[in-house]
Amino acid sequence: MIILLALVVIADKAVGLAFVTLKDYGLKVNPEYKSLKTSYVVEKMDADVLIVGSSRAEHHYIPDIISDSLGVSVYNCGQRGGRFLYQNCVINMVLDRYTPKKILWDFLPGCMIVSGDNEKEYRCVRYLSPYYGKNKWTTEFINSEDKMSAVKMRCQMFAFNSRLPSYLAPFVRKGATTQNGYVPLPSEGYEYPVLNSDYMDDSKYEPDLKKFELFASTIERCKREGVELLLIASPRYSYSSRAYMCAVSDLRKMAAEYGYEIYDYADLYLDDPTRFKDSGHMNHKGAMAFTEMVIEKHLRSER
Amino acid sequence: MTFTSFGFLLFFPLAVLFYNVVPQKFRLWYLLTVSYAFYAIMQPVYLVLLAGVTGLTYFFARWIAKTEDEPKRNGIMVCGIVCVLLPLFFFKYYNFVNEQISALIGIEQLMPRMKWMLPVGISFYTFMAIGYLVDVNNEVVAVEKNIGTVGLFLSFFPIVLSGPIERAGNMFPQFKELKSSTAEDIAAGAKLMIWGYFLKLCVADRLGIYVDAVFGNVVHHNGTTLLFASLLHSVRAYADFAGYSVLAMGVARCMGIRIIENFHRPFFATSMSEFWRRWHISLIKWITDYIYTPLTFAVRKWKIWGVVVSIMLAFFVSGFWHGAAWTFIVWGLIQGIYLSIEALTRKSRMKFESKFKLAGKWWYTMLCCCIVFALFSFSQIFGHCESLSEAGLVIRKIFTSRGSLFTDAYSMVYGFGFMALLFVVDFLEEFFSGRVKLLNNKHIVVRWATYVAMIMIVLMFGVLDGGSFIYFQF
Repeated sequence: MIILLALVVIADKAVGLAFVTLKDYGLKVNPEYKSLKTSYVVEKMDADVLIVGSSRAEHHYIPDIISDSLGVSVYNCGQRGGRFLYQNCVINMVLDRYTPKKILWDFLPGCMIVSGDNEKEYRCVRYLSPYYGKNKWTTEFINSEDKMSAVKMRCQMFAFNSRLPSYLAPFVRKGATTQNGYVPLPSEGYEYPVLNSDYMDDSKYEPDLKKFELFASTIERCKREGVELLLIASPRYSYSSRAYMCAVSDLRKMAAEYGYEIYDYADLYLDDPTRFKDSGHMNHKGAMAFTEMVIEKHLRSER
Repeated sequence: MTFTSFGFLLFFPLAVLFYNVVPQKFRLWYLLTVSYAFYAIMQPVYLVLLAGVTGLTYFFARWIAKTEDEPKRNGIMVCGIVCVLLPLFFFKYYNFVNEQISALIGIEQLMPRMKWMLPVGISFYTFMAIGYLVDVNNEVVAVEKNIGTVGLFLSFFPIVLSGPIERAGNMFPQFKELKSSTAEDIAAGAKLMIWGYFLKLCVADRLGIYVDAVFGNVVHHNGTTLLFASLLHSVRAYADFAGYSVLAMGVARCMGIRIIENFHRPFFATSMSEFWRRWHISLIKWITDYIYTPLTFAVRKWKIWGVVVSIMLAFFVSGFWHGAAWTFIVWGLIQGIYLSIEALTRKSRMKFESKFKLAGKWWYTMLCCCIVFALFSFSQIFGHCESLSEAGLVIRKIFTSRGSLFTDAYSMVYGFGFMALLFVVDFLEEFFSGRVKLLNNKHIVVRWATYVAMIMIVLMFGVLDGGSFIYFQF
């Protein structure tokens, strides 16, 4: 039994080493492959303007349009499944490495409310496994998942669970698979979303104070390091609940203390379902229109 | 704390270690304490209920054993069964029965609705308690005078949450001995656990990601996707429940205790009746011994129609046991219909097979397996949907709404790969039993390479971020 355990431990260490090597080599041969996006963002990307957020950011902001309009380099760091804690971690990891001119943070006010689905905050946690124990933001983020995370993460096979295809894919498929991080969603060929006509708002508002604290700390850091921060809640095709509005209000107050504003465009395109792939994500048509709007209203004037 | 939680990986080795350290005469009470502690971590409040059912079972069993007069014994047994069933009724069926009666008489709510959480494992330990009372009444087992033994029987931690539904005749003799674990016990138990974790984490939970995504949004998926998800759901259900049962066997075996095998490669059954001798074996044996057989004896004068009535009632009970909802009842009745048709057509089918010498032909066996799988998958639509209308919608869309298949690359690559591995292993066990061995290979290098490979597969590819067993809700 002890020998078996020893064999498993050796295999475990070998697996951890193999994954880190795969990641490093993948970043050399195909750095902008979508499955290595998080690693590319935290290790290599050095754009002037970052767009940070979840899949909503990934599908809503077109870096090439912003880049052409403003003459700066732009990268869309939006990550599918990456909610507030992930976004907060990535922003701080990037700021540890360099100071971008501007961060466009596609914010999710709904994530700042106490709810029963906090486990969704950790959907992207395995993207940061290579940095556990080496980077304080990652270690704190992963350790906040549950009390036993620090023990579990000692097992490399657990740390890189389900990640093998992601690390092998850059070698199989050559070339960038995003447009500077942007992933367009098709604009037609499916049924557009429908607003819920029976919508009843029974939401309760309870702010997640821990997240508010982290948010304050990060925007205070941006202020201190001279990073221009643009906080936007991009459009979706659903009604905003009372709890959501309360979260936006409280977040606005907090951001205002540091001289920042939160721009809530959640209801911007409720009259046009053809701009949406589903209730949470705009398609390419919507992304084009929205990106142009953001440039005109917030980026061109500030420049 | 479920078998796949990290806490269990810490709890279990300590439990086995102390089991072997504790003197044999105290092991019963040690296991009872550990089992109650295990249950208390889940639902401490309902420990009282478990203890109460244990007390009732013990009391009535002793009363039955003391009573000579047969009609009186039967009466005490029935009384005991009713008392033991009452908590199950209140926690699981009260709201459903209340709603149905209210709807029938046309009022909103006859009685106040109960909002209590269902006690985990109540369906399992209630059936085990009933089985024990009947066995004592029929003198199949001797009454147990030690309440600790009865208490452990109903609360034994490997089986308390989701079965198998054990019998006193199998467990009591083992609880009287409680020998130390041998190296063979630990090895055999560990192998079962590795296989159980693979079934649950790599097959069931992987397929579950896709199946739940589709069935969670039935309105937006086309018939092609719903058909595919329905077929996958059958495999998922098998891997999930069989995985749990194998884990339970492994955990118990590490302490030298053997519990009943609950699944025996059901998708290689060539008829629905054979399927039900391979799927959830402990439940079907319970229903056969305590409902079907007495019923067929009572209605034996009705001949084949007596068999049909017994089958339908037995599977009505099976469906209702699974859940207090019309979907489960319909699911059970569909199984009953399948078996009734088989019973009614048995002679003609045998004639047909004999006439064309079909028995033993590989393509005929495969065809029968596919038909059984398809029939079971159809019934599982009702088992999985939230309501009859949703099940109806799924079935309607399967036949009328074509379209492209919804795909999710990672779930499908992993899920299909491990599903294929599961079927290969089951296939080899079914048709070439004992010839291809990996976990039990005589060469130590092959055995250990397999152990390490299986552990690596579970840790690297299993769904490790939580996920409860489907049967947990019972």
